[in-house]
Amino acid sequence: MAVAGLKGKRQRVKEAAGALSMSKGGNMQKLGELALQKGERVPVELLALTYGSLVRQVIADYESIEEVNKQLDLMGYNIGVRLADDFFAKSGVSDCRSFQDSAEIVAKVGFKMYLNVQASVDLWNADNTAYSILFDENPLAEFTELPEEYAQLSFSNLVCGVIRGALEMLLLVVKCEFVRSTLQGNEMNEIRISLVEMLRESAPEDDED
Amino acid sequence: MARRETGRLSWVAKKQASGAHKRSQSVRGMEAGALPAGVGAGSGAPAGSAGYGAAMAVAAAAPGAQASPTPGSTLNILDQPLARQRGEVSLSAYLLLFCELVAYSRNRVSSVVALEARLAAVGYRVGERALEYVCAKSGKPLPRETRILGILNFVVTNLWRFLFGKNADSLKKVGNSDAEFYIEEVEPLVNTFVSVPKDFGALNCAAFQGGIVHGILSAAGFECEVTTYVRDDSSKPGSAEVTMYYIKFSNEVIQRERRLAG
Repeated sequence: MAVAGLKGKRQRVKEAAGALSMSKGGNMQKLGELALQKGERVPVELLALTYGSLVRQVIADYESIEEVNKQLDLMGYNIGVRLADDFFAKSGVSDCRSFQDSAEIVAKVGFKMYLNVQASVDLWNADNTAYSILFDENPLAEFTELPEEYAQLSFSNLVCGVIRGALEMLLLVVKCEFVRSTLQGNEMNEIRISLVEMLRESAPEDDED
Repeated sequence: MARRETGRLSWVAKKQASGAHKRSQSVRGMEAGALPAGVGAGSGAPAGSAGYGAAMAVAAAAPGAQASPTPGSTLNILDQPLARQRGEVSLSAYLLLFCELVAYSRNRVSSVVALEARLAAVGYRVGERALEYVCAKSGKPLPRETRILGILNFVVTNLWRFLFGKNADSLKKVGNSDAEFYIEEVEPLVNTFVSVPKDFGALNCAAFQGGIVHGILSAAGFECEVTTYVRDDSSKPGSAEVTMYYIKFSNEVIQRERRLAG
């Protein structure tokens, strides 16, 4: 299968724009790569075709594009909630203490480990409550073009939902959206993530006496 | 090979570019193949249109038909080689997506049969695109399959290997019928993490893969019905459940088969 080909092949890595903090992120990237190689894999095409077909199904089910975007985000959220456990079980990442940590972990380890995508963190705002994840290859949107009437469709909105769901498991409530995407003619994908609220850990109310 | 193909295909695309595709649905690229397949295969697939050449040309024509190359992207999607090495993603990511697909579908149907039909419909669109991709990916030009056994072998070996990394477990013919076949599989990939609750009876989420088989056969010009079952195999205690994809070809296909057999 494609396994052999993958190893021999140099990853097509075009550095995302902006200065990369590679010194800090290099280690993280290795973690992600390791977790990817350790687990079982499927060809990108299977994921891309399945996701494309799923998006079509959602479009058929809902009339407005806004609603489609919302549904994709919701599905992603459900995935993210489950993914958080899987992530900490397999990734080797042991702690995530701050919002800044979480950014590096999501972009460097998460994207690599699940989607085999090299992503970087950039464009922090002044008070460190918002940042962007930049990446140029998007396996979900492989083989896809958006017709003009679907220009408002955020095709890969599922990814935003996944990030939102997974971070919520870490008590970080975030807002997450695509601001640029290669499908809409930009030269790279950018997901903007901003912190809304940090939840406080508390014992569940209906705990046994 | 891919390069030459796309060249020819985008020419076909230009020829058809003069409208008629305004009603094109949703997402283009490989995605848009559904439109032409609906046109070509849905209309009973006359014997002559069998084979990949036809399927590929139509599949690629739709995206090209509307192609106003996106500003900023260097290569039009049709000019990108189909067979290029794209790497792999994690199985957990894929299966989490599949689980969500099942959950999404489950909330919108009222019966197990309808749920399976929905999963199969999603799989169908994967299958009809997979044909073109599997052919391009095989490296050397594949002969166009016109015979039933040929295409079924292609499905259980080439398709299965590319999508799931292994061959299907077996391909069998139903005793005294020329039109009925079934493919057996002990552990369908998508069922890896699926456990079916009791009140869902005989639900088999591999109906999705049955849809893929249906899609690829239709795209290749072999109209058929595909049904997915679970069979309890009590003779082998280790693996009690076997998934069966039961395929019944339509009359045109059988007539063509007889003619070709001479």
